[in-house]
Amino acid sequence: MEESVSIHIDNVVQTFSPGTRVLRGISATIKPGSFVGLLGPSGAGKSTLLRIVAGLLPPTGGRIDFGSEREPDISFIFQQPSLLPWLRLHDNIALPLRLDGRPKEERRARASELAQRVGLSEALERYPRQLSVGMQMRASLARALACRPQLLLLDEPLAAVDALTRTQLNASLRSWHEEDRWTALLVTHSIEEAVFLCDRILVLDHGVLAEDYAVEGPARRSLEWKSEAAYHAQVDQLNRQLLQKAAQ
Amino acid sequence: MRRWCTQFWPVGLGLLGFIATWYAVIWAFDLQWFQLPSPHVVLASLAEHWRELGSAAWRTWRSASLGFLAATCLGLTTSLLFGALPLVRRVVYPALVLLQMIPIIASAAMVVILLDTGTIATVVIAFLISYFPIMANTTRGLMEVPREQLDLFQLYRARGWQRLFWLRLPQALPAFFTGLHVASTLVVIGTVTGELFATSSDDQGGLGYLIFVYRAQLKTPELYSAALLSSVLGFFFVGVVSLLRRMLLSPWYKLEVDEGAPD
Repeated sequence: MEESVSIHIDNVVQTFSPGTRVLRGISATIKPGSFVGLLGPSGAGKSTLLRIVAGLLPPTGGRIDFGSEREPDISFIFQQPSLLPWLRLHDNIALPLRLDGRPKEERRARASELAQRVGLSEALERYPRQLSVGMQMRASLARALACRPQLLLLDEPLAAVDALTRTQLNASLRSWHEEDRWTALLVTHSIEEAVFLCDRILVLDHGVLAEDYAVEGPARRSLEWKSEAAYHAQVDQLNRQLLQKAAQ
Repeated sequence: MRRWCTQFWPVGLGLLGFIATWYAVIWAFDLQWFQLPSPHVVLASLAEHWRELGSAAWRTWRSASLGFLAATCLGLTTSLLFGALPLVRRVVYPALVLLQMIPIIASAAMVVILLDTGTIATVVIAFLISYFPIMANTTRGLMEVPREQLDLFQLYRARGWQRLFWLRLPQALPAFFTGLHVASTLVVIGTVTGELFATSSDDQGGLGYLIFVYRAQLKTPELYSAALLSSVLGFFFVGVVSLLRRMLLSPWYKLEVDEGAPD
């Protein structure tokens, strides 16, 4: 298991066309192994920041540093499952390993292990179109974990699934994070989801960092925590703060 | 069997309707056999001239198949080249579009002047009419890859050839088959048109040549028999492509757009 990485976001600016400044100088440091949420209204620049951290978009200004000599292993989970429709599930899950040139036996073993972890052992031979959206999302999570990433970037990964599946997958995500300790950066619109999953929440508003909120919760979280008063108090507090920001 | 009947009864009904309309038009306008022969006369002529029409159909099929095969191979190769080298695509593609605008009759005349009459000229004409739809559709398929999938391959540090053969090419398969389908409907038309130009009186001609001769001799039932055989040949190409498409794509790709839509 590779060590997780820290992320140093240093005065990142992103301009798409003259006059369209999406990010206006974001700076933050994210500790290794932490689960950090990015909250904010649509157009605040959350997904853009995530793509910059992933290296998929070069920033107009500023820089991203991972505090390590070599490039970290990064996985990205998109809003849509983005599975390759012509590959069976085991090949989809093992795609990062195939691209890395790993032998077939290793790929199959890892795909089986991860499929078991996400509850898709029975579906390994199926094609994506034969799976429900929830199952496809589970497979997408498994694929993201296949290369044992040091950094996991999640762009509203559960926006397209039903409420029950979303709750279950949130619980799974948190427990996998507690086991593997990869650093995670999550874009979400859901305050409840952010408080349950994250140790820290960064609120973006019009391209600036408006709030840096530390979540106080148990290190090991199960769904029971969601029924505790401390959880609801933090959800309410964050909700109020965001409403005040929106009113200003 | 029951499913087969359910699927094909509309085709049978359409065919019966077509034949009934054919007879009705002859009756309504009082047309003579040399103007519009009735279906049974055409079938009788087909049976009578079967040897001549059969060998002409074989020659047309051979030219069309060779042209279609060459267009498939070269169309796919060109598209892959365009997928791998975008600069080459930007330079060459507009020129290919321009060439495609030349009417097939003009292309056929130019090919015959260049290569003289004969099978090779007919094959080249069949190739010319089939190449562009295959190349254009496959190139479009290679270019239209969802951004998330490209991002995924970039994140996992995929090499250029992995992106081309493991992402762009499978992604382009449905579009490639769309191109093949369009080409399969055109290839017999192109070949028959080519035979009008590319067959001399010394050569053994295909259906196009026979159509030309029958028209000159006012052998209308024979002309219709040749046209019918051309249509059957066209169905053959469309059928083979549809079968291949179903075999290769149906496990993972939704073939039908909506219920009742033609495949």
